[in-house]
Amino acid sequence: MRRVLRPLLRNRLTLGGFVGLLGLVLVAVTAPWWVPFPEHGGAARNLAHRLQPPDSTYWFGTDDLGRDIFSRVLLGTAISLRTGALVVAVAAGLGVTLGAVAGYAGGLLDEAIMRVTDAFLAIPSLVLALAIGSALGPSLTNALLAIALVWWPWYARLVRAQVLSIREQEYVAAARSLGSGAGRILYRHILPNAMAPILVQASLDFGYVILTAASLGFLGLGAQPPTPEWGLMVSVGRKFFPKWWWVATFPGLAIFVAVLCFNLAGDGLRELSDPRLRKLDGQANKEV
Amino acid sequence: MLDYTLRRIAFLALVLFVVTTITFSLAYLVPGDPARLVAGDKASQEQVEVVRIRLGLDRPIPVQYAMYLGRLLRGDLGRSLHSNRPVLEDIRDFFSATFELTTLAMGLTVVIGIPLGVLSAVRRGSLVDHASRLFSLAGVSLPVFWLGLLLQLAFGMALGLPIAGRVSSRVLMDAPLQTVTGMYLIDSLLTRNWAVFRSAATHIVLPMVTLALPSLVLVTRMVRSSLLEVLVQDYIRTARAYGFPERVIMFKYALKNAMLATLTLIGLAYGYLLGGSFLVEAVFAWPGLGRYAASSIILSDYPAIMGVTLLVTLAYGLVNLAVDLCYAWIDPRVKLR
Repeated sequence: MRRVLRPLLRNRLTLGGFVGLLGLVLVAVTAPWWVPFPEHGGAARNLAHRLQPPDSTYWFGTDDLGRDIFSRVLLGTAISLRTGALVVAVAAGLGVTLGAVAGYAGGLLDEAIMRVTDAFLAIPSLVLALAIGSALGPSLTNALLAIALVWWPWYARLVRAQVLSIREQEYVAAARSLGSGAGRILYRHILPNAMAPILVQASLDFGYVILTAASLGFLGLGAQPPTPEWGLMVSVGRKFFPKWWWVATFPGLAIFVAVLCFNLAGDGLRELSDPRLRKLDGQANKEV
Repeated sequence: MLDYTLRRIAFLALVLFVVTTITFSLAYLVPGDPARLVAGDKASQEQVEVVRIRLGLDRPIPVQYAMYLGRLLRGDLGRSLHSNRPVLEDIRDFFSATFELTTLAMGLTVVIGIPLGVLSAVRRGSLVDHASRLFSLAGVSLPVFWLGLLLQLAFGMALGLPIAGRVSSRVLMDAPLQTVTGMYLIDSLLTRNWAVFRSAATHIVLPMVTLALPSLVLVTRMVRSSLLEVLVQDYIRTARAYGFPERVIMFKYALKNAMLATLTLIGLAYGYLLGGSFLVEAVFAWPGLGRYAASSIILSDYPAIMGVTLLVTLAYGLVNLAVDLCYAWIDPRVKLR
């Protein structure tokens, strides 16, 4: 454990990412109890104080309905983290299942699944998510579904490659000769050994999913008012931009910070999990 | 090479088939009755039924799908429920605006991203390199729609760069632009309409920079890592031993091999640009496909949405086809796979 943790923590940027993530989770879980105006997370109105610039009461200013943007941004953390977790879980679930079946079964089934996977990968993901989202109708749940539906192929491809190499291992042959069925071999013997790259991929995806969900929210296809979803808040704030710049600026900053934390942490994990990359960096250091 | 090209084209056809299948099945999830939408609110039930039969909506779904594919093959993307014009005609003007924006953003990505990646690799471990890691991770974490707003605030207000539209309407009124390609910069150059050219050029700066930034940092990162991978190879050490200048080694021997992976990424980055353009167009009131799609979504004009999705996928597919062919041309081993 220490051997894994030490290089991870030695890199300041990676460390910063993990600390930031911890902070985000803490805020997401505890925000409803301590933000200055918890009722402003919903449709509350406070018209006497609409569009107030940041001051000591309203740290990030107020929006067009007089709601405290600081409270709304913090309350929105839970929405974004939940979005990321749900999409990654659904996409990884779907992708891992299809990829594992393709890799283990081989032959025509493998060929069919992988061609469809490739075709999905060849469609610009935001555009496809938009088409799916617009057919399903604008809501946060539908946006989640739309993103998950364009995200699974990456996992399918990754898992298939893993399964292909692991299924030739001797312990798999041993399990087979003991009479284990295909399902048992896949879930008990192959997949647990293929998990590491999947987890790294998931950690990297988290940030992108949050970004995509915010983009759909910005285009009006994600969360609907009065949800304090960051992308939606930027979209509303755009109408008051640049004169009342704070309405759009702070939710946007929140998206940026959250995604950056996930990317820093994910990038650190990826470098750690790829020994080739680590060694290469070391060598290049010596030679260049 | 011919065999490889044909295989790639067959794959593009498969991609388009999958897209049409997805969008066609989704069309059945759209709430509301399309025949009623076309006939209008005031139409009687009989009139709606007449429209239904005219549009072929009373046939079994597989037959409708086959008819739809048949029409697509003839270049008929259907009629917009809103404007009642052929979708292809609706899209044409918007497409050239998006194409102009994404192509310039792609150019910026390549022109700045590659030298920056080389610099980062050469100075590995230095402050420049660490800054570049943070810079690139920050770049891909930025919501482009928010970045656009910030740039509007910083450069639009301070430098007076225009923050909305493709060209100033006053300039266009004084010096009308003859349409040749639909791309304002090229058209104004061809017709020597300098006033419009200047106006169009200043209008495109901010959207282009906004759109290019995320893909620019991706390319920088990719050039850096593939260059580092190449620099530890034996043939580079041999070249060093021969005493070639570092510049020659870098650009003549190393970069050429490092470009292979970068080329693939550039193809992928075009997809980011196309998706990103939908957001950037919303921020900068750029009259492109994204704006058209956004208004179609609000009007639940599904034929238009299907048309845009298909066209964007086709554009992305063609760019990647070109990239793959370049790749095969640079690295002959690819063809054998």
